[in-house]
Amino acid sequence: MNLARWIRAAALPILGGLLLAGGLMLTSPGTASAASNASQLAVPSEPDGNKACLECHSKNETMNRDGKEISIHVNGAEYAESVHGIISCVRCHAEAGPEHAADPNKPLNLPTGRELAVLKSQGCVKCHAGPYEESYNLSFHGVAVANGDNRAATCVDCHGVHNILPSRNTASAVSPENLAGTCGTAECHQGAPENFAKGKEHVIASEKSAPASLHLVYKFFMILILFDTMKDGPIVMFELLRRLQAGRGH
Amino acid sequence: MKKHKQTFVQRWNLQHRLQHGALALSMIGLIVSGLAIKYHQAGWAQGWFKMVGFHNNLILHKCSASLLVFVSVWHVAYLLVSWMKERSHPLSWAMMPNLDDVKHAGQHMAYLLNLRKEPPNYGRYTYLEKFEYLSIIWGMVVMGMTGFSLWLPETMGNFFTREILDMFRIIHGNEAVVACIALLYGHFFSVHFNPAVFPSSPVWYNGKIPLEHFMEEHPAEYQRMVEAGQLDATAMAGAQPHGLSPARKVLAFVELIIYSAIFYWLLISYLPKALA
Repeated sequence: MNLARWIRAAALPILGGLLLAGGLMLTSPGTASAASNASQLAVPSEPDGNKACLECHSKNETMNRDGKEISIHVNGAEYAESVHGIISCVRCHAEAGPEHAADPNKPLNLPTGRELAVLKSQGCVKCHAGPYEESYNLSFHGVAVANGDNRAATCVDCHGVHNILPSRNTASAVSPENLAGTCGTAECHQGAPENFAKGKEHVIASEKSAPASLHLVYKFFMILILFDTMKDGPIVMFELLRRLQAGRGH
Repeated sequence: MKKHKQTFVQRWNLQHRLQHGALALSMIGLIVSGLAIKYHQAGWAQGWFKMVGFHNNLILHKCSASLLVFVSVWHVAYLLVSWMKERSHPLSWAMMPNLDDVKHAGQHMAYLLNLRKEPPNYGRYTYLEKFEYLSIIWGMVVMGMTGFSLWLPETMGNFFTREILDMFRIIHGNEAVVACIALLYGHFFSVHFNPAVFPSSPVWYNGKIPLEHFMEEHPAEYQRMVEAGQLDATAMAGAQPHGLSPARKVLAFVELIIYSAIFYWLLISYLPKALA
């Protein structure tokens, strides 16, 4: 009882102290820029650098790489609206360092086409590690790409590049409304029916978190394989023992 | 007295051998290309993909699958023709499972456990061979249906939802392991690694089975052929079911170690997956 009363009495000073400490931290020199602009409080990583990138990359210009005309255009507004909008360009484009700023026309030695999609998707899993990466590596797309067949879908093929939106957003390429259309682009599963959207992506069937139907099918086969092993193994082993035991032939 | 030297019995005709050859060829192609995808991180699969490329491996898988479908159509056509030409080409029902097979399975178990001296009195096909034949039919239906859906998901997506197609992929990859275990422990043991026939029974290439092996493995069929006058009983007067020569006993011992090792490896691999 004494303890409870003590806590009640102490609660107000403690809360007040925390608030004061928080206020001091926000106004301390280390976070001066964040504190000076209230709208940026929620976006501590907003880089001023993105503006510099967009100075050139907002233009509708092309460059020649691998004998192909490639657009350098990035829709800045669209990117800012995307789920990654608060992240600086260089988080994904580490290749575009000070050297690129100094000499924008110097090639960055990036591949083009499918190879670029594969390379850039390897960057996604630096943040999106865990079940997304693991399930992709288990998927047929992932197995094909890992073994050099670049025709299979990578992260960016389904999710987009600068326009990535969460799947709950109806404008997202991977929202239930748009998924079949995303799968069904000309380069991939052309003519993919609506059924393509009726199921979950990024599933690890061996884990209980997978849809029950997939997990049960997986479980059934694990038990079947075990049963087969225990049925077939001893038949052969005992047959060999029997042979070894039998008398010599003539 | 030359005919008394007969040491082989004709077991398969040319049709049987051609169908088996095509089946074997397609299965080898399917297993190599399929397991390479399933176990793509394994060293051998990596080497294989470096050699042929992932895409070509896929083409090999689909070609082998097409060959397998062709063989099954061929086999059914062969059975139908045999059935229609009852006189010249009698259809054999020897592959049909019956109650004797259940009895043989029990007797075989007793024999393996040393509770019975002789193996069961098998006919033309043992209960294990019949089971294998039925397994091929069952396996082809399962693998064919799921595999075709994975081959043409855009078309099959009209009939199945994404979740069902995902289910098919799990079934396809795991039923393949079931088939490989059946091949390794069932088929390959009975006709290749069985110390009495190692390295191979000659039936698949010349259609003939050594008489002693025939007597030992299919005694009821042997008896039937003698009674039907298809075999000369006096020719086999001296023939006895063979035991194993010392060299083959060593082979049997080595095989016992290898087969046991694979058995325990499968057990250790799949027990946690089944129980988890």
